[in-house]
Amino acid sequence: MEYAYQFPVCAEQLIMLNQSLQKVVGSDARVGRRELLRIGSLAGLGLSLPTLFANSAPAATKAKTVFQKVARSCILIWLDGGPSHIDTFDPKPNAAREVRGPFNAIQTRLPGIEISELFPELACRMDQVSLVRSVTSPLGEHNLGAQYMLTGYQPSPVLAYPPLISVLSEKMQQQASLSLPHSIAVPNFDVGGGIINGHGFLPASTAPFSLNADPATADFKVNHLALPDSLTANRLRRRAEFRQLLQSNTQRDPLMEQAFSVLSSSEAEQAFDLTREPQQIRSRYGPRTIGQSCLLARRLIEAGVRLVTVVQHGWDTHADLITRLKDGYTGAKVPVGLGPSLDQALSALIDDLIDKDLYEETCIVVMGEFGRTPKWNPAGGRDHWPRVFSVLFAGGPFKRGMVYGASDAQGESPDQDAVTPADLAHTIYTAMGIDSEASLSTPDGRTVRLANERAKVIEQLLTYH
Amino acid sequence: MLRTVSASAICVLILSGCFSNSSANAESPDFENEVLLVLTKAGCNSGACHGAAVGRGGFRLSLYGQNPDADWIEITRSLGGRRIDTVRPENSLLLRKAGEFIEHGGGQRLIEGDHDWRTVANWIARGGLRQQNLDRPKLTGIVINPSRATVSKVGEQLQIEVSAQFADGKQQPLTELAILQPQDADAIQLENESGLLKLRRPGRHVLLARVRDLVATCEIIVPTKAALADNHYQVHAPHADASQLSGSSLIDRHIDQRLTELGLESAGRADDATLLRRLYLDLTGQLPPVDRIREFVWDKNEHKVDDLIEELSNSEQAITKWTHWLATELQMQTVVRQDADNTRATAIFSRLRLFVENQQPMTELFSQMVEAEGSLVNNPNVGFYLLANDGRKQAEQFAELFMGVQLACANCHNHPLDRWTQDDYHGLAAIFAGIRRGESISWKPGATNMHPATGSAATMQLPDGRTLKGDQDPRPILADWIKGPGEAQINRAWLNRIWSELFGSGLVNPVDDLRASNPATHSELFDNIAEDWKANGGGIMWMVRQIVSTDAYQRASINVRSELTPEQNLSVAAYGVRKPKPLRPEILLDIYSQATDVWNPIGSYPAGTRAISVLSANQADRRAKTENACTMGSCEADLADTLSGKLSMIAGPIINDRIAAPNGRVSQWIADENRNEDQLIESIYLHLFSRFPTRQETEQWTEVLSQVDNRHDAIEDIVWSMLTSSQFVLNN
Repeated sequence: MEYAYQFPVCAEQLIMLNQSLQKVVGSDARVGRRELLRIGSLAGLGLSLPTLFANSAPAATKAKTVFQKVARSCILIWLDGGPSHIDTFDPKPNAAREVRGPFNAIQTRLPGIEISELFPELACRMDQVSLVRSVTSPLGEHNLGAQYMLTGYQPSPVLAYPPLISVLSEKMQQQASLSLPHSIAVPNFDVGGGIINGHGFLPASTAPFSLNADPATADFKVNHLALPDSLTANRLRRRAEFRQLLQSNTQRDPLMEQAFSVLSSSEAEQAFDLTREPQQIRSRYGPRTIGQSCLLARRLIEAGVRLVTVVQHGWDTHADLITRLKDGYTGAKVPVGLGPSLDQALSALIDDLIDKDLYEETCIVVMGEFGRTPKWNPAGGRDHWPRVFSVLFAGGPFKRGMVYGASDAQGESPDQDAVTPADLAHTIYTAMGIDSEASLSTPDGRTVRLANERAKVIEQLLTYH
Repeated sequence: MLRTVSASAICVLILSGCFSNSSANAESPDFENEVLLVLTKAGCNSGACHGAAVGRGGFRLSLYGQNPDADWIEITRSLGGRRIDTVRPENSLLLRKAGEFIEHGGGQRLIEGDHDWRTVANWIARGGLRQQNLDRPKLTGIVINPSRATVSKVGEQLQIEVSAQFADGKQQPLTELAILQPQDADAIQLENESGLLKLRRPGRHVLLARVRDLVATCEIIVPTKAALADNHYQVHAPHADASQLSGSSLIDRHIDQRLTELGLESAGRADDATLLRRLYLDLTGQLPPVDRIREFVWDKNEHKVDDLIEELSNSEQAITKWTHWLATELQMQTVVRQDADNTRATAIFSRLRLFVENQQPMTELFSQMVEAEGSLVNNPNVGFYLLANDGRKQAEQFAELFMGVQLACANCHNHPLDRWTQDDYHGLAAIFAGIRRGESISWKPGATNMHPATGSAATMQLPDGRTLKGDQDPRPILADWIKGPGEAQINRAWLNRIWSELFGSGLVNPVDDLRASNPATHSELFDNIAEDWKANGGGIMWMVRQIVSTDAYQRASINVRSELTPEQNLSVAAYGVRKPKPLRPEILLDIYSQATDVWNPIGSYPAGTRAISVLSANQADRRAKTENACTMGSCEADLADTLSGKLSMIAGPIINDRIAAPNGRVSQWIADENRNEDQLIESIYLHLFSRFPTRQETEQWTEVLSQVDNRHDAIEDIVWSMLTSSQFVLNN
C-alpha cells in the first residue's frame, strides 16, 4: 500500500536521494556503516555551537565536568508501552520481510543513516539529534522495564528507586521557580502500567505534577490553578498560617507549600494557556495529544519550568502495526498514527527550541521501556523485546548528528557498544550537570548513589569545550 | 556441586544421608537432575538468553529448565544433533559455545575443566541420554537450611546450605549449584559461592535460592541491638504454644515474638479519642458521632474498647463499609458502567451486602460466581463474568481476584517464580472458554482455548493440575474445587486483603502476588490465622474483629510528617508502632460531608447518600480526574499526596464549597451567637478531629479570633486548615 505523505521540502529531496541511492548503490555495494557513522558525526560537530551557561554550571567535582556543557532544563518524551526500534529509529531494510516489517527505511540528512519512513520530518533534522541504537535491558515486562529505564536501577522489592526526573527535581530545587511547579508531566505520569508513584523513596514533592488533562482537547484546562473569587490573597496567606499553627515546628509539607506559591501568582495559569499560541503554531505541532503536549512543554520551558515529562501512550503494539504506528485509524488519508504524530511534534519542538535559543540549554530524551520483537507476530504486531532498542537524545550538550552503538543485522541484540539503562541515567545526570556519584539517603537509612555504581557515562554523546 | 559442605561451628546440621559423588562415578550425570542445574546456574536458559520464548540465536531452551523433555531434544537432536559430540565431548557445540571457544553472544558461561563443565562433558561422553537410570528419583524440590534464622547482630555471618529434595524423600546438598538472590542486596551479602552470608542491616530479610525451576526461601532476622547475645544464632522451632491461641491473641503472640527477635520495643495503646476515631473509620467508614466521643472518653469501663468493637462490627454501617470494600476489591465498579438508573449497581451491592451480613466464607461467594448464569440484575453473581471478555482474561481475573495470584506470566511461558505453568493458564482459560457474554451470561459446550505451545485446543485443567475431559460443563467442578482444595489459597488471599485494609499493608505485598518466592512478613502468623479463620466460619467480619482487637492494631501512631529514623521504619514494618494510613477516597469524601454536614448528590444518587453505600462507575475510573468524577466519590488523585491534590484542596470545590454552604455546619457555627469561643472551638474540634481541644489549642484560637476583623472568614479559614491537615485526612 502506498501512502500519500505531506512531505516537507527537505523530505522530498530525501526521497529523491533515497531513490537514486537505491539505483546507484545496491544493497551489496553500500558504504560501510562505520564509515558513514564517522561522516555523520563529523557533519554534526560542525553544526553544534557550544556555549556555557554560567548560571547553571554545576558545582563540579571532577576536572572533566568543568569543561563539559550542561543543560538547565530537560524534556523527557516517554513512549509508553515500548516502541518498536525497527519501526522507528533502527530500521533493517536488508533483513527478511518478517523482520523488516511493513515500513520502508528512508535516508536522513546524515549520509548513510536511515530511519523509518514514519519519521520524514525527523529525517530532515537528524543532524540535530543523536541516536543510541544499542540500549539493552533484561526486563521485558512493562512495569519492571519502565522502572529500570526511568530510574537507572533494576527494581528491587525492598527499595523504590526514584525516577531520574524526580532526582533532578530534588537536586535542582534551589534553581526552580517558586510560582511554577518544579516538574510537570503532560498529560499525566501513568507510565509502565500506571503504578509507578513518580518519586520512589524521595519525598512526594519531587514527583512530576500530573496535569491529568489532555492539551489536545478543545476545553483543555489544568484544574485549580486559580483561586475562587471568595478567596483573596490575604485569606490564602492566613490559611497557610493557620496550617502552620496546627502542625508542630518539625512538620513540613513541601507539596502544600508549593501549591500555595503556585496559586499566589497567575504565572502558571498563563503558562498552561495554549490559546495564547497562534493557531498556525498549534497546527505545526499536530492536533494529537503528543503534538499539543510538546507545544505545552515548550511553553513551560520558556516560562522557566526545568523538568517536563511528555507521555505518549499506546506504544504497546502487539497487533496491527500499520494502523497503530502509521495510519492512526483504518482508512486514514493522512497518516496520524503514533509515528507520524510523534514525528511532527518532536520536529516542531526541535525547530521552536532552536528558534528561541533554548535548544542549547534544553535536553530532550525520547525513550520507552523496551523495544519490540524483530519478527512481527501473526497479529501483525510486535511483542516485547528488551534485548536491544533505541533511544533518541537531542538538544543540550548532546552531540548533533551522532549515532552511537548498533544492533545486529536482525535487530536482535546489541552489535557494538552495548548501553544499559543505568548508563543512560548516568549520561543524563551528567548532561544536566548533576554529579552522578553523589548520594541520596533513603528513609530507612541507606545511601544510594544517583547512578548505579557499574554505570558508565556515554562520553561520546556529550559535547566538551 | 554434589559434595558436602564441611561442617563448621556455624554450619547447620544437614539432613542429607544420601550423598554420592557422581562426577567420579562411572554412572552418567543425570540430565534433568544435574545437567539442567548446571545450565540454569550458568544462565543459559534465563529469559534474557536461550530461555526466552523464542530462544536465542536459533537455540531455544525452556525457561529455567521447566521442560526437560523439550530441552533434551533441543540439545541432543535439533540442528542435526551437532550440539553434542559423544565421541569427543569437548567438540560439542554446546560446550564450545558455553566455553566461548567459538563466537558466543552470551560470552563465556562455563570454564573448561571445572566441575560444572565436567558434569556436562561427562553426560555427553556417556551418550547424552535423557534418562540413564529409570530408577533414579526425580528432583522434586529444594530446601534451604536453615529456612529461618536469627543472627545476633549486624555484621554477623551465617552459613546456609541448599539441598535437593528427591521424590524418594532423600536430600542432597547442592549449594554451589544454586543461584542465591538476596531480596535486599544491601542487607545480605554473599561472601562466597558456598552459602556463607554476611548480614549488614537490621530487620527481616529474605534470601531466595533457585535451582533449575525450583525456588526456596530463607528468612533471616537481624536485631537492631544484640538481643540474643548468648548464642551465635538461633534456628527457630515452630511455635507450638501459639497454635493453642486463637484470633487476636494468636496474632499478637506472633507479632510480639518478632518484635522481641528484632530487639524493638512497641508503642503503647493509642489514646481513647484516637482509637475511637480509628475504629469508627475502619469499621464503619464514618467519623464517630460527637455524643459518642464524650461518652467514650469519660467511660471508665475497662472493657469499653472491646464493647465498642462488638457494637460497631455488628452495625449496619459496618456491613455497608465492608460490602463496599469487597465490591472494590472484586473490581465490581467496572461492571456498572452505562447504568443510568443504578439498577445494576444496586443489584450487585445488595448481593454482596447479603453475603457480608450472613458471615459466609469467601469460597461460598466465589463458587456461586463461577456457576452464575443470567443477567446482572437477576443474578448479580454474574458480575464476575462481566470483568473479562474472553477465557484467558477470565482466568487471569480468577487467579488474581480469588486466589491472589499473578497468572499472566504463564500465558506465554511457565511462571518464572511460581508453580504456574502454561498448562495451568490455558487449562483454566479453557474452562472459561465456553462462557457466552451479552445481556445474559450462559455456557455453551464446544468452545476451546488455543494453547500457544501446541497450537491446538488446551485441555481444561483445574488450578491443582487435574484435567477435565470431554464436553461436560466444567463450572460445577471448578466450584467444587473452590470449596475444597482451593479453599486454603483463597482464604490466604482474602485474609491478606483484609489485613492490608486495616494495617495499610499486607502480610504479603503486593497483596495479589502470593507465591512461594514472595514469603509473608510473618509467615507462621499467616498460616495459623488462616487456619483459625476457617475454623471460625470464614466470615469477613470475624476476621476484621480479630484484627482490630489486637494490641498491634490499637497501638499509638508515629508522627507521619516528620522524618522517621531507620529504627522507626523497622518498627512500623514489624507492627511495633502504627503509621497513619490514607483513607479510601469514598470514605474521605464521606467524612468531608459528615464533618461539615453538607451532603451533595453522589452521581445520580440523591443528596444525603454516602459514597460508600453505593457503587458508581466513576469510583472505578481512578483516572477520571474531572471535578464531576471527584464529587462522585473518586477523589483519590484529587486529594492524594500530589501537587494536583493540594491545589484541589486549596482552590477546588470539595472543601471550599462544603465550608461555604449556607445550610452547612460551618455556617451554623458562624451564625450561632449564643456560643462563647471555648464552646465554638470545642465543637469544631469534636466534629473535625473527633477529640477535645487542648487548653493550649483553645487559647490559641481564641486569641486568633479576638484579633480578626472578619470573624466569618476567620472561622472558615480555621476550618479549612483543619480539614486539610493530616489529623483529618489520615486515619491516625
